[in-house]
Amino acid sequence: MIEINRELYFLCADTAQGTTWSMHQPNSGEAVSFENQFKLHFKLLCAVAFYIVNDEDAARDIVQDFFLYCWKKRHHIQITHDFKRYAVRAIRNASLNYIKKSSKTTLEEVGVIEQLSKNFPGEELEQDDQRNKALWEAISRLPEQRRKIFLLSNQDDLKYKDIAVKLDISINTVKTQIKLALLFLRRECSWMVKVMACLFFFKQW
Amino acid sequence: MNTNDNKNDINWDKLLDAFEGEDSSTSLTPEEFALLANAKEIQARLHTDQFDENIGWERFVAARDQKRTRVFRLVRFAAAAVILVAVGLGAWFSLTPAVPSTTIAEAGEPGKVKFKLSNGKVLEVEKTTSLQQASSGASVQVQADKAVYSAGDATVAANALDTLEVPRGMQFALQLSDGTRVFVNAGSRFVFPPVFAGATREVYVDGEAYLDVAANAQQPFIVHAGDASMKVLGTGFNVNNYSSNVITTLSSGKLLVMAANSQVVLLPGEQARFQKSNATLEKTTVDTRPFTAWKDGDIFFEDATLEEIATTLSRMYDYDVRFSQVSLEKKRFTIDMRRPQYVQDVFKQISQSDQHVQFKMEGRVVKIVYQP
Repeated sequence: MIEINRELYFLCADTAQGTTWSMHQPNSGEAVSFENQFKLHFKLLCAVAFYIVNDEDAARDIVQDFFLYCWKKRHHIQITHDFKRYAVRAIRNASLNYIKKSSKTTLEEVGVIEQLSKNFPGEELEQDDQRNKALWEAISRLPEQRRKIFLLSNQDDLKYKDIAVKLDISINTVKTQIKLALLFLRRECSWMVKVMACLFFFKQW
Repeated sequence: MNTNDNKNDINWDKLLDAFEGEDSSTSLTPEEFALLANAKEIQARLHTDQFDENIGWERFVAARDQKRTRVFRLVRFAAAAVILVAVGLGAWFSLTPAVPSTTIAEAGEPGKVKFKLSNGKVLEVEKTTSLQQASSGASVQVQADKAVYSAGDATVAANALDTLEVPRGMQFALQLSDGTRVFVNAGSRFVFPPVFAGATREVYVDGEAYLDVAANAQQPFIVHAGDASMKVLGTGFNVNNYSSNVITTLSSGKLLVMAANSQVVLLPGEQARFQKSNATLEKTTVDTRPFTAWKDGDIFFEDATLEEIATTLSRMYDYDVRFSQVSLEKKRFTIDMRRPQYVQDVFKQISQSDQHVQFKMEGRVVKIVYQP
């Protein structure tokens, strides 16, 4: 069940009577339809949910429930804020609630995931597409075997041991390759270093 | 693989395990934490393309335009071996405490789960209960909301039977001496031998239970529920006999249902309904989840009347429900959510989807009123 903080009543404006719901982009002030708004943010919001719940279907459900909530409230909602930022926060909270209620996750783990989730997608939301592009570009520069192993683990969600069986290599080779790929990608994707700096700051508190 | 990265003192084994979702609760150094954040971010970004906005939009439109309420879906039902049967109107009334509680308890203070052992001993189980007990050749390990039977080597009285009584507002998990697992729902009674000594394994259900039967071809498993009985041919099933009709729903395995001199074989996704009034046994194909969601801790209704929903919730949370208007009873809702701690959270969802329906709590009585 999606839980949305009712204090945060700053969503989007209903300017038309009836079914069309216009929202406004924060910077340009340009009106966008509900459908455009949905399609514009769907991928990112699913990725935000996936980061936390680690389950594609659950991520889709969480995002859909959020938009159903927005749709239902479209006559009562005022725009006073950036929709994307609000949506990211709402999805993050709903996803954390989801894993809290799931018996698979211990409360300690939820705590760690909650801390981790603050770092994605980061503050500069408008740069998100470039970051995805930069990441794929960096992945294309990995050695072939390493790239294959990394994608099997990260895109196809195979377990290390299953990758080892599939490629007929040892599990330690799998782990080493993933480790090397991670270190390389982190170096290549400069914004991630910033995550680290923020974390240090955070940890000191 | 070298466990420690010499330069940064990073424990990669721990980190990679956490990344794979093994256990992220182990303490991580700030460096490890940052790396895990990076790794998770990369993983999330690589999944971005799995989320197609056009398909997402179509799904959204379909859900939005559904007339009836949808109250969110949380956990996917992993079908195990499941059947569900229903029998015996009044079966659970007999288990309800005779004197209604007058306290206005938020969480409800339901009766206690009771074991009546074949040796005459009665065990009352509480949240803090943790004990070991012998019962006719078996030893029983009881812990809060579950109990495990294991067969001992002592000689056994073949006809010894233990009874488990679960009051309204509670659920209980039981493992029998043959390894069969049974989830017993609120307001139900389950009778079984501590040790299965005979040629068959026979148990009795009064109310609702989910059974995941341990395979043993030499010793067939038979469940008696009201006027019907089922013989397990494959692995498992779930029995419910809350009314005098017996509804048996199979989600996996194979089951033979017998009632009133007729019998049907159920395959997964099939349901047998025994109608007591005209003594007929009919087979239909159903979606099993509405009948089995309870044992996974979910509340699931598909286009059900408020009357049906209220009946189930009153049993699950031990409240009595009164309708202020008959027309309310026929309103239909679809609900799919985790079972919340308080019944009010379910009511809140219903009121949110239809603001004309409001719930007023008065002690242990819930009044459903029409709000114009």
